[in-house]
Amino acid sequence: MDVPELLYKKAEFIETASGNKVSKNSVMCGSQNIILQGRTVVLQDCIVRGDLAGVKIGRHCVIGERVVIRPPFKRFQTGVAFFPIHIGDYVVIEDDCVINASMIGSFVHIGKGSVIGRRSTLKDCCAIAPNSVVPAETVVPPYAYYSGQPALYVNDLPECTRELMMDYTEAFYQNFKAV
Amino acid sequence: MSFLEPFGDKPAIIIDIGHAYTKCGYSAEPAPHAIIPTQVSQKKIFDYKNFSNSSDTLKEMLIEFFYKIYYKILNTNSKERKVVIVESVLTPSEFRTILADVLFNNFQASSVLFMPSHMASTYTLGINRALVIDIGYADCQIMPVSDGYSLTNLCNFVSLGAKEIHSHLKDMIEEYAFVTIGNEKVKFSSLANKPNLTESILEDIKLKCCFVTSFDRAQRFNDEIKLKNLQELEFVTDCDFNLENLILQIPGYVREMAFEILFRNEIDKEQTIPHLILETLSKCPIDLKKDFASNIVLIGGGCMLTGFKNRLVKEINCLLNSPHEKYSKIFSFNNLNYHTPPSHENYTAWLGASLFGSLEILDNYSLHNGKYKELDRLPDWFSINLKSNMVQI
Amino acid sequence: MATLIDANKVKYLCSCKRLKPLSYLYYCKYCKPFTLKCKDCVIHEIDQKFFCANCFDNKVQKEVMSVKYKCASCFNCPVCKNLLLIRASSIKPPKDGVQSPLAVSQSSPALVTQTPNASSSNPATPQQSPQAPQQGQKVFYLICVFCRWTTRDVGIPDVTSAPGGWKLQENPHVKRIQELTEGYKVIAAREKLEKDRKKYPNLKRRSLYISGSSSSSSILHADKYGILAPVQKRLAATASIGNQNLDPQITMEQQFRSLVKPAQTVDSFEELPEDFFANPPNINSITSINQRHANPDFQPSKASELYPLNKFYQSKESKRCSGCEHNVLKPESNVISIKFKLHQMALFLVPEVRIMTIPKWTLNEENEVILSITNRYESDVTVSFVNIDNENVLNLSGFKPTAKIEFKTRDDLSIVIDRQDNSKVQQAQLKQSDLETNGFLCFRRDNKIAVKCTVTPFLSNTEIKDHVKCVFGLKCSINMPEISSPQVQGSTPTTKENFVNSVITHYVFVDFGPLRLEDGLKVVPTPRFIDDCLKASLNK
Repeated sequence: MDVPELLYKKAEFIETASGNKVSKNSVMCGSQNIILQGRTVVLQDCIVRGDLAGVKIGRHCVIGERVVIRPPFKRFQTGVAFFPIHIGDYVVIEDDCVINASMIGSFVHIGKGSVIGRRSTLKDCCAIAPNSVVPAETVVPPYAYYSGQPALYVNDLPECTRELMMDYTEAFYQNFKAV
Repeated sequence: MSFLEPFGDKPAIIIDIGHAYTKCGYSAEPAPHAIIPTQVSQKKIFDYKNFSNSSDTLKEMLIEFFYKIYYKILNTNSKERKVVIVESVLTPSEFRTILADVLFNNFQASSVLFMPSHMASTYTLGINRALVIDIGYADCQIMPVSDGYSLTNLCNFVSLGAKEIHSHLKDMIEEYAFVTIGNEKVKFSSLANKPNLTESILEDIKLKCCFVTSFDRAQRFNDEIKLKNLQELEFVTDCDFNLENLILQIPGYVREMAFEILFRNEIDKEQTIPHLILETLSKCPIDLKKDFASNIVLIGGGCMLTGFKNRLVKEINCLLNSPHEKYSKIFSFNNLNYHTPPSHENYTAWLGASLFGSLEILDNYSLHNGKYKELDRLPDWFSINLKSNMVQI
Repeated sequence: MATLIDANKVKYLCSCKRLKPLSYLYYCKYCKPFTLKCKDCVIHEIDQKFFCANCFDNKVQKEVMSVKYKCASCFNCPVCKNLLLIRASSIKPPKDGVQSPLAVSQSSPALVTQTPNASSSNPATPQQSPQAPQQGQKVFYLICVFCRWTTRDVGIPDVTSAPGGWKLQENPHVKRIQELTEGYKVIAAREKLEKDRKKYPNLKRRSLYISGSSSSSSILHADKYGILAPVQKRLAATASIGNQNLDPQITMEQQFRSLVKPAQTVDSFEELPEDFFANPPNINSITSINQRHANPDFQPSKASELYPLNKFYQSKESKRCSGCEHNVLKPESNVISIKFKLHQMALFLVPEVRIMTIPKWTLNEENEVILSITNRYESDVTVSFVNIDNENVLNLSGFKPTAKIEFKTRDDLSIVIDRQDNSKVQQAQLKQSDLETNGFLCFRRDNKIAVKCTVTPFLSNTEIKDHVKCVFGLKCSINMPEISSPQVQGSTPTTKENFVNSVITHYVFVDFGPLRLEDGLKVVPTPRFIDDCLKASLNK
């Protein structure tokens, strides 16, 4: 199935100079710490907690509805410290996910409703199945497809994942039209 | 193997494909690298007859399966590697031919040796003669092995393997198990959307809750069942099992009596494992009887059930010594001797093949790739051609 | 990314007659004309570099085989197969009272730099100290994040130094197995010797063994060029064994018995313990079959015997065409990199067909379907559509079409799809030639076109659960650079490559999905928020 056209009301989205399209009713706390590199789409009802630590999201990303992006923390004797979260380019995060990862590589696809545990690392070109739970501090290797609760390796992704993700995200951005 | 090849050869790959689990690893290792279910994307390979176009489906499944074994589990190239496949002598020829086809043509194995599983298990003990009892998933095979030959004219098998146990357990659970909903006990079978009792759930219940009861208790229960009601008998305490979001209460009767089908058969009294073992022994030639009786080897996952081995020994001793049975007249000895191989029972055959696979004479017995291409048929265990691969100590 | 676009709907025919989605196919440009290869008809090769999936620690094959493919520092929980983390805790000194566990991850000690300083809270550097834990000494234990299993639960003592702390358990039967192996090796060497003697009975048996006194007469010793070095090595290893075998009086069996202790037999086995019947069982203390199989050496039946499982090393694969043995896919040698040195995926050569819209099916009538075709090749591609009626193709792969697809256009129509041009962002625009197709080509943007076709399912009413499947041919004409046979080294590289126009018909098998949708199941994802806007755009 091809990427469908998605239409939005112009009034509901903010388009920035670098081409990011952010929904107005998604909450961006601490927006000075949040960097969207360009042509990224953030859909409705997202929560991005930039007030805790820096959030850096790459180009051509797609953040679905009701996604929570929260930087991971580490508890120390004297309190907690939050670590910055880096998300690479061409990443698709589907609806209802909760992201506590410390690093998400480029060309990653995270399915609906999954929970990425704190301080986990998703390397480039991997994918997470819908409704899976990636436990804390897991490292997901490239070209792996993890699924289940806890998320365990299932099978491999095709080697052209990089090009397919680039295609999808660029097509998504082009089809995301104002009305 | 050329004259100038370096001595430190890559170890051969040893694979034992069982109906439920496959043991795979390298030669000269004391245990397999991994034990994985014989399944391809949740479908059992040995159920291939249920699919249409069965031989093609089997071939595709085997290609997928071996890809996983070579590249995901053993992490090694398949090309130019020697392979030893452990299989029972009673494996259907169709399976063997397709397996050889896949290994030689799709995976470029340099040579393949099909090793009989019963004989392989005697390698772990260093003995010449043994009566090997293999309790697997599909059936229980009793095979005498002597001087390198599997004596198939004397063998016996009965479908009393894990498969039978699972279906019997399922029937018992449907009939006797309870589920606690709210405050009342409801019968499991009367639930509206009861969860499906899949093979893996039954296996879990079998491992955790059930056991093979002791000989004395079994005798007592057998006599009392005819007289009293089930509720009055003193079985073991009940057990709670977590099944998805229900708590399944498994009564003591199910826990103790689940494995009785291996030892008692209502319909045909002689189709039980102890009887068959003695049957096989009695049919053996006179000069070998004593040898076999003092060299019994138990292999297969079924032997690892809690309390199984002890019960089997007691049952056999009872049959040997009881005046009602015919065995006391046939045999002069009143107990058998059992071996304890240096491995867990479910991979004893694998270990034997691993020991053999580390030897340099492996090439003399294997079927090489070049030779395979010249043959039109894979040599069978029972083919008249005596030069075909029969492994001898 | 089949995860995103449900790639299983459109499949192409591989050269081994299997159907695979295009993203899973490779192509070999040396087999003329280029052939498509799938995972099952390509030769896989494991790379020489092995890495641990967690710590990305590099090792070569020989090192990896000696550690049995197990990473020494990364562990999996035996209960839930997840990663185990190393946690530090101090032995309780009387003053400090520090017992709060501090989570230490294996990967990045750099993260600790942000922590406010506390007295004993720098876990990244375990203190160098003598073996016995003293007061104030850090001890480490493993804990699973998902199921909270710790090594303390099974009684494994805490370790004073984290790297190399939890050693591999040794199989208790190793000695016996070694004894058996030695015995068998002796017999095997003897058998081989006897067989070799039988092969060459007339040949004078020269002493090939390197013995101390007659070393000068031995063939191997006079090896000038070193080619017989591997043979020397082998014979040196078995020389000691071989010399023992020369006595024909001792039979093989006697020799074996002298080396290997006979196996002991038992009369009976352990009984179930007395309290087994009386006490209610603790289900949680018995392991499941998967937990047992994860550790084949030990297969612990009780949860108190579980031990942390080492993670296994993995390596990348390169693929080779089975026909001409040229490489088709070769990953970079750097373990972390996702790029490929050689990346011949069919996706980059063959135009990809995707389903754009699916109508509500009516049986035995023409339904309109829109398919999109994307060209990812570096130059323009000309495509035309072929209806397949040939029985051979249909039976090739066991695919049973349940619908007939038709392209309502003239037979010789060929459409040019532009190459991908990332320099400019284009708007969807139909060319002049497209308008002449009478609505057949309804969309064009950049390197993508969409065509309207009609599909007539000919299922009967009883086969409602069946999917609507059809097959057609996609004739593509591409300008490929000419591949010459292996180039002579030292030849000057040609400045102009000769381009060869190759025309190939790819067979495309499309599975549209079930005929009747069950309630609540949507096939076409409709735009989410604004229905009236959608209607407006459809009416254009």
